[in-house]
Amino acid sequence: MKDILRLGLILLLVTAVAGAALSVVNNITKPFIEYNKRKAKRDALTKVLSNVDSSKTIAVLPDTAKLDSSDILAIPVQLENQLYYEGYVFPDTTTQLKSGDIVIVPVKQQQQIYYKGFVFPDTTKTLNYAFEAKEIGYSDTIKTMVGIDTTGIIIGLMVLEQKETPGLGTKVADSSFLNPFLYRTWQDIILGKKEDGYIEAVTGATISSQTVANSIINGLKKLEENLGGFKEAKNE
Amino acid sequence: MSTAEEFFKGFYKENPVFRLALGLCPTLAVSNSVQNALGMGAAATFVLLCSNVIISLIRKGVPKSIRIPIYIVVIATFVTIVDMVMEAFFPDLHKALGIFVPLIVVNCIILGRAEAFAGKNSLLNSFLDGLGMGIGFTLALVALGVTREIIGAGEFWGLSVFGKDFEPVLLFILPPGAFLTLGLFLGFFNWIETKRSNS
Amino acid sequence: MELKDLFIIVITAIFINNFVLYKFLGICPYIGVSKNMDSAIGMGMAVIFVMTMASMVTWLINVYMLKATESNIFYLIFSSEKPPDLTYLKTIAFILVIASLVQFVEMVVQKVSPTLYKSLGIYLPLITTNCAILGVALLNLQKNYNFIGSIIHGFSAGIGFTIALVLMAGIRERLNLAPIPKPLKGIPIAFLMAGLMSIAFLGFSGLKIQ
Repeated sequence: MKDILRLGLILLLVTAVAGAALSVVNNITKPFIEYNKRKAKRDALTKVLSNVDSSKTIAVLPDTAKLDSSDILAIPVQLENQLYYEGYVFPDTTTQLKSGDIVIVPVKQQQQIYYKGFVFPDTTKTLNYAFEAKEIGYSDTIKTMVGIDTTGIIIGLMVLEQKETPGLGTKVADSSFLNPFLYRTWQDIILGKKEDGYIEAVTGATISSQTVANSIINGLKKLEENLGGFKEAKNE
Repeated sequence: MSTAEEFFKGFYKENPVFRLALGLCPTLAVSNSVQNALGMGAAATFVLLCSNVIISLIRKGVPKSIRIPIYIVVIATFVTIVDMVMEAFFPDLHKALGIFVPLIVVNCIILGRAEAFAGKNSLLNSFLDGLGMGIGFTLALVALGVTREIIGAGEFWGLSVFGKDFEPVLLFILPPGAFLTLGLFLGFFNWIETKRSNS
Repeated sequence: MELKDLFIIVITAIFINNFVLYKFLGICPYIGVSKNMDSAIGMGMAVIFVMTMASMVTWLINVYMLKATESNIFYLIFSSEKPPDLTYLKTIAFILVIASLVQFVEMVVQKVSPTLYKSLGIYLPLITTNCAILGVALLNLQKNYNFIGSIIHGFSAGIGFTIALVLMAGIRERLNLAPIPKPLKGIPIAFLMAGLMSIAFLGFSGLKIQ
């Protein structure tokens, strides 16, 4: 009996030391991991929301930010005891947003999370929207970031994650496949022959291509539903 | 064995992958490109080194009956550290290696060396053994990675080797290619050994 | 989770993303135990059992002890302001659970069937280092399966592993009688066979269940 107790205590001691060491490393690395994630999201969003003057400062709020207007006006943003502004060098907390800067906030509605970009500080001056389109492709889930303007036409696309067949399905991330999607509404997204005005699928990867197309169509339909309809395109 | 031999045996004579057939799971999974192979090799070597050192240090105080769980805790701790550090500072590599980073903890090479060597040998020898085995593992991974990436994707470290019109043999990048390449390498090394023992 | 989702998990784990031939999990015992049919079947059964139990226990540990939710035990016991996020301890916790489960299975097999125990030999404790078991536990987490989903996933992964193992054992038993060049005998030819089987299973990918 005494033996088992002694052995158990030794094991417990080793595990406790291990746990303490891990806790320390965790605290050190966690801010960097968070920063990487948010930077990746920021880069994707700024890339697809291409109808914004690139000389303007763009701030992307984290998904944990509170979403009523008083908080939006009250940027800076808190993340785990750290006060900082998204879009600036971590952990710089000294830069203030100015009128005219672009702010991108996450909105959760009806099981969809989408991003709304507006001009600070007027929350009604929406410029664009973005969302992540997700669907299971040939091998695994394909995630695409889609950016649209307020009339519902696509202004930017970026494949975030895919594990498709190397050399074939992976080509859905190339601009040669994605560019034809630009400036279309979801009703215009049809795969087919380029000469007929449709979007060409990647040769040898019809399933991966169709998956990306479907995920974008479905996401846009849902977004239109959530927003109560897109704005009318201005006819020149 | 002399100190130098302790270090170099992992390179060829007792190469963990090609001669001892250990650590096969990650070998097949991450050998599809040179970058991944090097990344995994470095991570595994780090864990092997640290765990060999710690286990050698505590070897006198560890009761024999619970030595395996203790070794496992030590190895798992370093694996988790590598996992967190990689996610923080090398996020692309972390994404590419995926689930195989935490799986380093069940890499038979590491537990194998802990049980067979570090638990019974001096600090210096354990350190060299770990380093040598780790480098041997990395060499094996890179050899496979170079083969598979060049034949299967026409690339080396992501850069095109043969130019745009080269049609790579896709099979080599896919799972079957891993099995086939490793099988051929193992056969090749067996053949070399037979030749050497005959001469 | 609907029945359809569970069905998809089963088919995917066994055929489309076979743990051995596609995901490369469980290779060491796959090569080591596939030499004859009886030990292959015995190992397969043991692995199915450990995978299913491990999926169950690791899911419980993750939800009630590691994740930062209201149901976290440490949050409830120590009543801190925020539930602690201990998911970084998953590797240590899971592998210890698996090691204990394997120890338990060893004792049971030794009691119930000493012949099986002898024929499996060192490969029984080596189930602990079977990457497929830790792999399936981690995958359950990654794919956010609920309790039932995790158990079904673990069970199906075990079945997939056993199928690949039994197929390989059948082939290798025949190969023993075939004329194979000496350098390729044993492990190398096993890998080449596995490569061919992997090509066959590759035909399953792209299978979409609507």
